[in-house]
Amino acid sequence: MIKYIASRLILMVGILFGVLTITFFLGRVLPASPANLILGDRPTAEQIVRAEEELGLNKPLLVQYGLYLEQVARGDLGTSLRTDVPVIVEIRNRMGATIELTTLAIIIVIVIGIPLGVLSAVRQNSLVDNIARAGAVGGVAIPVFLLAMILQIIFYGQLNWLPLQGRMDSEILLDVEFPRTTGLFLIDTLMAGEWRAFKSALLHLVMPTLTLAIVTLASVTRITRNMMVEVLGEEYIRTAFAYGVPRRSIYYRHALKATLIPMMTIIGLTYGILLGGSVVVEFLFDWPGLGGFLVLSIVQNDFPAVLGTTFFLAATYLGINLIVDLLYFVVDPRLRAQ
Amino acid sequence: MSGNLSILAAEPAKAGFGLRARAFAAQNKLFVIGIVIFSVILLASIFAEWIVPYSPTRIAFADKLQPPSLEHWMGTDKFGRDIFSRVLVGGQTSMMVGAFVTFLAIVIGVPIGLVSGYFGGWIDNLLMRFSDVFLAFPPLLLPISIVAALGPGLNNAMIALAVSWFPWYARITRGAVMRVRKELYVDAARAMGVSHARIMIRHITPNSLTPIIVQGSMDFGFTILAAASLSFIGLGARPPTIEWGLMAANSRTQFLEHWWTALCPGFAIFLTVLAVNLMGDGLRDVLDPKHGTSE
Amino acid sequence: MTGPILQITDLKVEFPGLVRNVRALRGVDLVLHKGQIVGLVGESGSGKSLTALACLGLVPNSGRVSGSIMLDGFEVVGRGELELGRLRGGVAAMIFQNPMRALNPFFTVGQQMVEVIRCHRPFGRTEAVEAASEGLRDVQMPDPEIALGKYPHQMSGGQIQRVMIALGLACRPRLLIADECTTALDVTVQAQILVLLRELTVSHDLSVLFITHDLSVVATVCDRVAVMYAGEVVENGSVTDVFADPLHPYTRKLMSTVPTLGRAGGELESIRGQVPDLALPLTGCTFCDRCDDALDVCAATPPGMRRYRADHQAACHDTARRMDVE
Repeated sequence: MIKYIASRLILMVGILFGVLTITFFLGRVLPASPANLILGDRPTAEQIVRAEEELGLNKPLLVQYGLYLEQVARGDLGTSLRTDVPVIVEIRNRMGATIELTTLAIIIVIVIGIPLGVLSAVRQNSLVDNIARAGAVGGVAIPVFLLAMILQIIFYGQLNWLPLQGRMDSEILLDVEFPRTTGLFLIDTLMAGEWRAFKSALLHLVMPTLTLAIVTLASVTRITRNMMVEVLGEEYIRTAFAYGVPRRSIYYRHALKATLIPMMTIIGLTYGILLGGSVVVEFLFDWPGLGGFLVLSIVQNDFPAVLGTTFFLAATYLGINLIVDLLYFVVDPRLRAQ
Repeated sequence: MSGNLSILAAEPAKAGFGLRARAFAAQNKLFVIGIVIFSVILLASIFAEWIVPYSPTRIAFADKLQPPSLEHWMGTDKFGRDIFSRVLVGGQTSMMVGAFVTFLAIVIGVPIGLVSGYFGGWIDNLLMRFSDVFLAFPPLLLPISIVAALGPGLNNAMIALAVSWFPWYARITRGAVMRVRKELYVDAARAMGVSHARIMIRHITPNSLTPIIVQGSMDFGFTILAAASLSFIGLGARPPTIEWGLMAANSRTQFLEHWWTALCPGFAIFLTVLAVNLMGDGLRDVLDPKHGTSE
Repeated sequence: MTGPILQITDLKVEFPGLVRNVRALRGVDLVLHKGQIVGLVGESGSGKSLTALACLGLVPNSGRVSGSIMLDGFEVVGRGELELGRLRGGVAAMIFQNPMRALNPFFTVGQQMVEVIRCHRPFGRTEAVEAASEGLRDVQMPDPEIALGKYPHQMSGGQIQRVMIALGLACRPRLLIADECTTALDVTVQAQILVLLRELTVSHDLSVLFITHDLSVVATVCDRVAVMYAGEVVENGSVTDVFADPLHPYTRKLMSTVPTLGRAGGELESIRGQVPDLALPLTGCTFCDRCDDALDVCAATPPGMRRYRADHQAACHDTARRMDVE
């Protein structure tokens, strides 16, 4: 088992390395003149000089590559050209927003999507099943921004129940002090006992979370249903029926355990979808998270920030997948036997 | 379960084509719906230029931001342009994007998968690790960074998407190849001196076609969605290209009071992707019956 | 004296569809008395497995079942899931063909046995584990306690099949239905399992319905045999009688297609033609098209089952004609 973990870790490092290489070459090799791209339309003389120094563009490519690798190994992802703050710090400041959003979304997805998928599979072709499947097929086809905009029109434009954008009302943000211990506003405001701030944070979370959740829910429900249907067709399920094991037991013990492994894969994948989808959602809702930062940096041609954030997000995704892989060992006895 | 002869072998005349077609349609209702909707959209896109009620670029400030009406089925945008016409023309863009990206991803991925699966060994390892790197990115992230590097624009977006997607086709092809490679007739062909390339093309490719077609039909929809999302955040199509995601992006300043400027192009995307997905699902059910319901 | 342990009367199973309406079982009659081992033979598609499934109410939901199946006096057809659950394992137990896939790979053998035992008998955990151990001992599993803690993938096909038999016996059923349970095993293991089954019928007061396509297995282990073709029983009787003088042309063909060691030369016989499409309403005898002894009446009228000896019946016009003349 140690061997397995070690080999997976090495693989992951290798892939990270590949990711780094790709993102590096994307920035340095592809555009005709990196400096121009990075500096945008009307660079000042100051900016040009600083950029060239910053990027070491005067040195040969491989040397640049080596330097960059060394930099990353030290934990330095470069400095933002726009804000002059180290990228790593920017990431740390914005991580909380994205984590709060994606975690809430994934909780909703798991709590609703998985039981719905299971129910759908157990009662195939029933009303529940058909509604769930219709919802899933529809939900997968809907563009994220359409859903977000529809929600905004209804809940802000027409009903005025929820705020349009942002993470918290700006006045509250300015007036109220609460320590950012976790970076998650819901928790931080509660811990500080700031009720108004908590309410504001909560209201602001509703639409973005719902948007992310609904779109992801569609995929997860569908995949869970298909998985469960496949498991239910397995011979050992038939054996359990043939020996009079009660239905409930069959579904919730036998079938569910078999679906745990694919389920975990799905959750890992879902996190990935969320990380990707959050880019659009954060953009739309002006959410100060990593996705929004990425888009902003791209638009402003802040290359180190783009590179650093992309790498960070990819590494996180890889990390989650690695954890899922390792969890397999806990669940599947067939893997434990070496 | 029981009865191991197909209906054709036993009684060819018994169930005529009409009956079989109707039975097929009844059992695969969604598939048929998908095909119908998609065909309508496809035809509308192809003949868009001829059937648009107004020129999609006709600016008329006097008519700006009109809600949907009999003259303007989907209303007008902030420049007074007819949204329905623009949606029709935008269909051309989306269809082209879907087709091109899927095609390109297949063209890149399939040969890699072929070589990888056929030769195995270190070549396989190398190519698959290489593909794995692309798969390591969460969806959309890689296309975004590629476009960031190449510069915004629909062409760059298409290349970015194709490059992000080829690993799936590589994997599928590789899987199919590895299954077929074990077949005896491949060894027989080798023994007769047929070259590697020939074997790969003539024997193996036809067998791998089914999963590729299934995956391709599903990817078509996702490609359109991804391209629209990229355009929405400003990294895809740029004016004067007419693209549904771009239309939605341009409506951001007015959509709250004028819902049609955003929802109509958005709905067009939804409908198209839905139709494509239904078709893809149906295709998969037909070609790969293992995916059916259990008893 | 109680009635037969299993009595199937005019069992019909249909799978309705839009284009095809498959009549998989067309009126099966079968009787099994206490203490007997009865073999059910036929080609794949003859409906033998389906008959077995029907006995436990396990026909897939898309199938429509009519007729009667009396399991130790209980009518199975039309019963609800709850009542069937008590019958399954408790009155009759089924052993399936593919041992490697029949057990849940995520639970140990012991856990699965204990679960089934506790469904049917009011045991606490420790008692159930004891019972499971004992069960494994009965099927001559080496080191039963260790076996309980193993996962299915850690055992061989033969061992799992023993576990399945033990599982089947654990709830003290009266009837064991073995569906091709030795087909997936190699010959030596197969022989061991067959011997085991024979012993268990005596020690556990069991009756067995043994489903197979392999006539040699029937000859080894069964007291009586029923031959199925295209969803019906065409001949049944004691093994001695049927093997000595098969009365139905299909049975004769089946026996002649089994190659015998020591009989040199001669062609390998095969039955010409193919099994008929069960979606069609067949008139007359189902075997008519492939029968060498077909008469004119065979295509028009289905032959009824007639008794020719104390324990030997067959459904064939030609046989009737011959036997009546003699």
